[in-house]
Amino acid sequence: MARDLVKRLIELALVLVIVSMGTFALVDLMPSDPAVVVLGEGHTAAEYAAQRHSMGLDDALPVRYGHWVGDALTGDLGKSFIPPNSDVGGRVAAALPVSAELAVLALLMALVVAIPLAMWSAYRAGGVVDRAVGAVTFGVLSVPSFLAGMLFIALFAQRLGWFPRLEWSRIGDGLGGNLYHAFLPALTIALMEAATFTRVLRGDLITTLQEDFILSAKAKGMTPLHVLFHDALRPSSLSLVTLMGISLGRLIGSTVIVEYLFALPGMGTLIIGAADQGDVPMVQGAVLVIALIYVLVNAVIDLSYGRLDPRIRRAHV
Amino acid sequence: MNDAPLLSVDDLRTEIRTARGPLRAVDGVSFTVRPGEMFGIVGESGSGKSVLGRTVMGLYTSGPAMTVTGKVVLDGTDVHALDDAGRRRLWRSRVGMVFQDPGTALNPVKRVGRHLTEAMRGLSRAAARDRAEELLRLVGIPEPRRRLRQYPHELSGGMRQRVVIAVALAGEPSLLIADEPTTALDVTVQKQILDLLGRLQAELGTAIILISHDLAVVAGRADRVAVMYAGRLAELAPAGELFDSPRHPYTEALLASVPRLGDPPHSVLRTIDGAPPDMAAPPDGCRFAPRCRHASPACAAPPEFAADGARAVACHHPVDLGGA
Ligand SMILES: Nc1ncnc2c1ncn2[C@@H]1O[C@H](COP(=O)(O)OP(=O)(O)OP(=O)(O)O)[C@@H](O)[C@H]1O
Ligand code: SF4
Ligand SMILES: [Mg+2]
Repeated sequence: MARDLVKRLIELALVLVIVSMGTFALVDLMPSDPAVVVLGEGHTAAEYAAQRHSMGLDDALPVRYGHWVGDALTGDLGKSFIPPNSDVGGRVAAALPVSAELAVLALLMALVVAIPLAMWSAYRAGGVVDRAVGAVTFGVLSVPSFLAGMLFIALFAQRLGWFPRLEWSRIGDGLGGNLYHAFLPALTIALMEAATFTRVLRGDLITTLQEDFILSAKAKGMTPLHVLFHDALRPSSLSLVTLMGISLGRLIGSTVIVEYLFALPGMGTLIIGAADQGDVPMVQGAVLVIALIYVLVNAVIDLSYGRLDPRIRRAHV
Repeated sequence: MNDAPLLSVDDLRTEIRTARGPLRAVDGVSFTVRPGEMFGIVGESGSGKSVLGRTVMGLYTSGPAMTVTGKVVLDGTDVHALDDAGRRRLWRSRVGMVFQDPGTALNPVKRVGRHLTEAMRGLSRAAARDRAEELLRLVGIPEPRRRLRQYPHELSGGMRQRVVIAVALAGEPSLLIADEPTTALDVTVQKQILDLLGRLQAELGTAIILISHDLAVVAGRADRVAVMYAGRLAELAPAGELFDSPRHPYTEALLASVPRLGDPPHSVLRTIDGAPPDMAAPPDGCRFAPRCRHASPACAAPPEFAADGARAVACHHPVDLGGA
């Protein structure tokens, strides 16, 4: 088990190196010239050359990467190019909780909806509920999330006035108010996730429900609910958990549209704004943090397979 | 042994709805099982033994997937007249099932102990664990306390099947349905499991329906044997009489295909010519007719399952008593 863990950590480190290189190189390909961004309009060629030199842009790419990663390892993600040249780390630290909360909340909502729906659909596969759920999930998957978001805002925020819009309330200022503000945007994101989860889990459940051990659980008199929750769910959840890992990482960075619609100060807003202004360190820092979370979450997911299925635990050792 | 049946099955039919149309997997089967009896059901693969076992137990009932008609009375209870809760009560306390493949009959993510205790009612955690341990000891598993904490994949096939049997015994059933309990096991382990079933039948007085495609499994253990062919019973007789003097041509052919101890080594295994009928479109009349060496024009009409003393046979030209 310990050797297994060491192997995993080495793998993880390698992935992180590759991801950070990718992040660095990708942003280096951005069309804007960092020196121009900092200097603004109207500068001499000498000023330009001096600026490039002071920013270390004369160095070769690997050297610059080395400096950047070295700083990042000490927790320093650099400073924004754009006045007031705030600390990238600080800005990311402020935006991340918003996106992370939205993503986690959306995933929870999606699970709460998807698990019972998938169970019912699978238990009575081909029945009325199954067909209705199939049609609805298919419909939901074909609605872009900005449309759903606009619909929710028009209906629940504007017409019915149940939820606020264009406001955010931090968890620190009270959980109730925070959840109240996060509900609609999280629901918007959750919609598509719930539809995907339902489909994936339904398929796996149908396979599991054919297994002998399901029949043998029934044969000793367990109720359908017991069979579904205690016998079928765990062996059917490997694809779902994998999908959740992919979603969580992805959602933190790609809730852009929803953050924009609801005017939320999250990572999506931060990255789009920075990219728009050619603020290279900000984009690099934010993307690096998202990539880090993505890799870590999926490492945890990988380890959780062993918890879900004891046969896998043995196969690893 | 009293003669009132523990189980009576009367004209049972199970029609499964399939993509190719309705399939009568069980088509008019009647028999009784006495308390404490070992009752064998033998037939080729696909003859409907598993569907019969599951329908008898009430695991298969009328619904969107199939239609069940006929009657199953267990211990005075009409199994197919029960509601869902009543059927679950029956399964918890009166009848247990042993499955063919112990590798798939246990949930891979649940420990052995959990399999045994989760259906127990009204017991404290400690009492349930003691009871589970006792059950494992009953089925001959060494170090039962340690086994309770193991997962199914940590046990050998034979040990797993013992666990499956222990699970089926947890509710102290009066009837155990063992559907090919040894087919998935090594030859050496097969005998141990069959001996265990025999011991349980003798010690606990549990009636056992032993289902197998292999006459040799049932021989010497069952009190009575029913031979199944294409969804119907061909013959039913006390085990000794069935083996000594089969009356149905199919039974006769089955017996002839069992290798004998006296056979010269490497002698060609005799099998029954032809294949069992397509169950979605079985022949009219006697279903064995296409493969039967006694077939006559009379066999175009379905033979009746006619009782004669302790035996019954469904054939227009039964083999003469005393051997063909
Ligand atoms: N769920 C099902 N859907 C469709 N057909 C089925 C189903 N279950 C059984 N059958 C069909 O019913 C017939 C009887 O099957 P059954 O499993 O009872 O046979 P068996 O005698 O137990 O054979 P085996 O020795 O292979 O276990 C077969 O033709 C089978 O294909
Ligand atoms: S009824 Fe006819 S065909 Fe069928 S087993 Fe008897 S002799 Fe053979
Ligand atoms: Mg079978």
